[in-house]
Amino acid sequence: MSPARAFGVAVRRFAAAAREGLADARRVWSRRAAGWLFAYALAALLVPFALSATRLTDLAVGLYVALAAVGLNYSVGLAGLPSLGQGAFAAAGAFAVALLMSRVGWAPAPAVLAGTGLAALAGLVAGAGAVRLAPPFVAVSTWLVAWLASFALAAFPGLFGGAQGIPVGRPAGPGGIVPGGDLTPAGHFQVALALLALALLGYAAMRRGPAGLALSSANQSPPAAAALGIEPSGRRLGGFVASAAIGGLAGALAVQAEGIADPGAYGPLLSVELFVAVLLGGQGTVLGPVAGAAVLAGIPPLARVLASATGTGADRVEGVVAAALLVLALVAGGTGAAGVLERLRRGRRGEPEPHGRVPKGPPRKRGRRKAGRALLEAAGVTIRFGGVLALDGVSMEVRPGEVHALIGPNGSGKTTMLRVLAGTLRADDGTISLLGRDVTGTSVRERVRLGIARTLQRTAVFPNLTVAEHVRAGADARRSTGAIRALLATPEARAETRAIAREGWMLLALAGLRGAAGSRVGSLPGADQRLVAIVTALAARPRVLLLDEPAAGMSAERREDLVELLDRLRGLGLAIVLVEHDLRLVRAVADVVTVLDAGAVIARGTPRAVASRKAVQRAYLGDARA
Amino acid sequence: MALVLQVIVTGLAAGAGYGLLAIGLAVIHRLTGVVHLALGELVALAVVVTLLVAAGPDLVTPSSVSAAPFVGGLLAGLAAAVLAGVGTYWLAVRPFLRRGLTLGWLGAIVAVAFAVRGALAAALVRDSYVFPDPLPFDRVGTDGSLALSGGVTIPVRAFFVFAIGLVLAEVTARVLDRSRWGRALRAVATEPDGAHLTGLPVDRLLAGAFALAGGLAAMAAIVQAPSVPVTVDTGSLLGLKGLVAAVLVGFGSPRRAFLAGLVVGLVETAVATYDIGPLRLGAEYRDLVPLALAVVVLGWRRLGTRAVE
Repeated sequence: MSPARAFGVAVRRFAAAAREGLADARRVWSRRAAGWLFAYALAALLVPFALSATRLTDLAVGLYVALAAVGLNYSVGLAGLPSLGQGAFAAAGAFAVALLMSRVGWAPAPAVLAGTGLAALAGLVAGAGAVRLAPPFVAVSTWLVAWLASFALAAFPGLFGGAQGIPVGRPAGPGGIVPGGDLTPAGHFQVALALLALALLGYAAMRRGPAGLALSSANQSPPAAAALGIEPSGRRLGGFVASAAIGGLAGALAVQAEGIADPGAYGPLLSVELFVAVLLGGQGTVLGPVAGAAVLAGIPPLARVLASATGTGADRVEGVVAAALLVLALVAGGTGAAGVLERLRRGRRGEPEPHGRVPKGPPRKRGRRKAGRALLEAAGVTIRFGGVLALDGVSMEVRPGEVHALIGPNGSGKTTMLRVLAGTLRADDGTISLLGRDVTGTSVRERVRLGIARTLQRTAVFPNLTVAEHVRAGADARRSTGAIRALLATPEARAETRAIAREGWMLLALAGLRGAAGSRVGSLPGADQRLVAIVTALAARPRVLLLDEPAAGMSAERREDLVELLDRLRGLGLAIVLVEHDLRLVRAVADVVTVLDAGAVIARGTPRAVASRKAVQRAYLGDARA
Repeated sequence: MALVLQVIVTGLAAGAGYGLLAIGLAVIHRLTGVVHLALGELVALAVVVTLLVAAGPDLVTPSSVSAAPFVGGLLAGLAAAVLAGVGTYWLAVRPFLRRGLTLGWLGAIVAVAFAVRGALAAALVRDSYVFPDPLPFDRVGTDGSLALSGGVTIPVRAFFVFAIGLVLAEVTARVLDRSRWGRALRAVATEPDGAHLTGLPVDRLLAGAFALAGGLAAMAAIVQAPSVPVTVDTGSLLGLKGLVAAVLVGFGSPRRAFLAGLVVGLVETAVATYDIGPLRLGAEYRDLVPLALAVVVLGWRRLGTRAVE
């Protein structure tokens, strides 16, 4: 291809993408949204004329606090990491700026960049250890970091300015940005508003996007997410680093707006206040932290009023009253102001109708073993738990379009076998191969990518996600575009999202769940939740589906639905391994049955043939006649 | 050599306090999964209440205090710590624990910590206070210290503080191990729902554990208080070092938690006293090193790693 032609192609593709983007934007940008944006911009332009410089500076600093809180929500709400150390990252940004400007003589803009970078780096170091911890210990770790930062600031008064702090020059006078990147109070107010809006939009986009969905599912049920091949650690760290960077940015700018970096202002109390702001507003909601920051801003004046009402020493009592108000607000508030709003809105829209039944497919053909190559093959799988032989050289194979049931008494090794096939358990001996390729040593995520999906024994759903979101989360492992592309909505990322949505819609239709697409799965009956779990596993586009007791706790009527669904999946050429206690169900759907007892295969064949075998009857009914 | 001895004795005395706090933190965590981040502040409350009752509302401390007001102060301080412990459980922990809201109790507990800290800051007008010593240690040795070679002195109090700490830790460990109450607590720790079904008063037991943690730590702090000036930060520092000790042993058994406290005490005293190798550390690093150590250990031990099948 000649360079000119290549250029032409690139231009055409860009134009197409731009057209598409505009069309999307038109659809999303309702008149109301445009109105809000206009009002926001108007406020940013006009408010500075109405207020004094001191007032503007106070407002700007308040907005920077809100920015740090929104940043913290990336960690708490998105990544599920309750950080009590946001103040330390703000301090990193603030003191980097103060030292670079006052000691080295840097201009404000590069200093802010350096401060933000330093905070992000600190977040990376602190987060690397924290992301794998359980939530209370994330809090402990970050709490220690917050105190560490505050002790360090206090321990070296020569460097960090001690009780006086480090003064940072700031320009006075009208206008926004002074040449050289310095900001006047009005400029700070406008920059703060703009950054706050950006941080909020970024949060909303991340939350709706694939990364947010994956994190949300991993926070709600780690085992179920792991079974879908969702690996949250990297994204958690990403959320934590983003949170630290935004905190650092807020600190860096706040120091310039206030004209001083005061070590006392960046203690653990700041971290606690930011955390409480996120909780008060409702973590995980977009606007929550802003609402929380507003409440926070209202507490000192209220505390002042209450303190002066009690008599002398108002400023001394203020701290207690403010903290006590925080406790009260938390105990009374529950899920927070924004959470209440969201619930009201959802209530007004009303919960969607419950779904219908699984639609009937074409008549089934069954019982004939399909010829051709095995899809999934296990050979000589052996597992020892200490001295117990849980699986003793089990071999099995599954062909496309075949339902292979694994049955046996309790503790016979059925679920263990399923875990070995899925990759959550390493066999001590034996091999697993998929289409002739050895996959024995691969991880769960890799196997999901290659086409082995699994549902868990317990109800393995994410109660706070909708049915449609489940299907999107299930497709996570096969997504090729990452979080950044999703955030920027590149054509590739959007094409992939559309394809996944289309396919998800078809899957929901297959299971008769279309009508429930918008319902929270936690609000659905148990039988539906199990169907959702199966559809979620299907979204990974598997060739082999591993089901662990999908019918447990289902009524007879709903079992028919399950049989129908499995039949249709078989018709689509899927290979299904089914662990099930209900022998009626097994007889209704299975092509081949393998019977395990004490970790060994004691029988194999069609359901009818297996049921008549003596060994099977003995294993199930005991050895009464022997 | 004399310096080593001094570091060991004063380190163990400081560590005894951290160890007792760590016991309280570990017991509460194993029972409820809660990490009591406000424990240090509650202890400071006990110290200040004791000071108020023993030395009067001006907090002007006489050089020595007669026994009667001091015993009264001690009892009042202990009562304050126990009540504050129970109050924290009912107000800040229980409402959230029941609904499984980890974020809720985290936020409420740190807010309680700062409420107590704010109250203490309001009560303590001066920068630091001297806590009266009810026992006549100044009559032992030269002015209450043993003089060693090279001008090194060891306060006699330190032996007493360490001994009291050791006894309290051992008694607590035995009570938790052997008594009916201890067995009931263990039942709650392993199977909260089951314990509830067998008729154990789970709520009262948990409140009791919070009270125990508060009282134990308050004892430690009050015994230790005459050794160093009392400031607003006294409680926060105690709480943090106790937390560091609990983290080091993964919120394990009481005896291990106490041992970890001793280790933290030794480390910080050594850091504050010595030049370690080419690194010239000093008193400024006294608080920094243990905290940094705990952060590293937390990342490395992967405490309570999210359960993944």
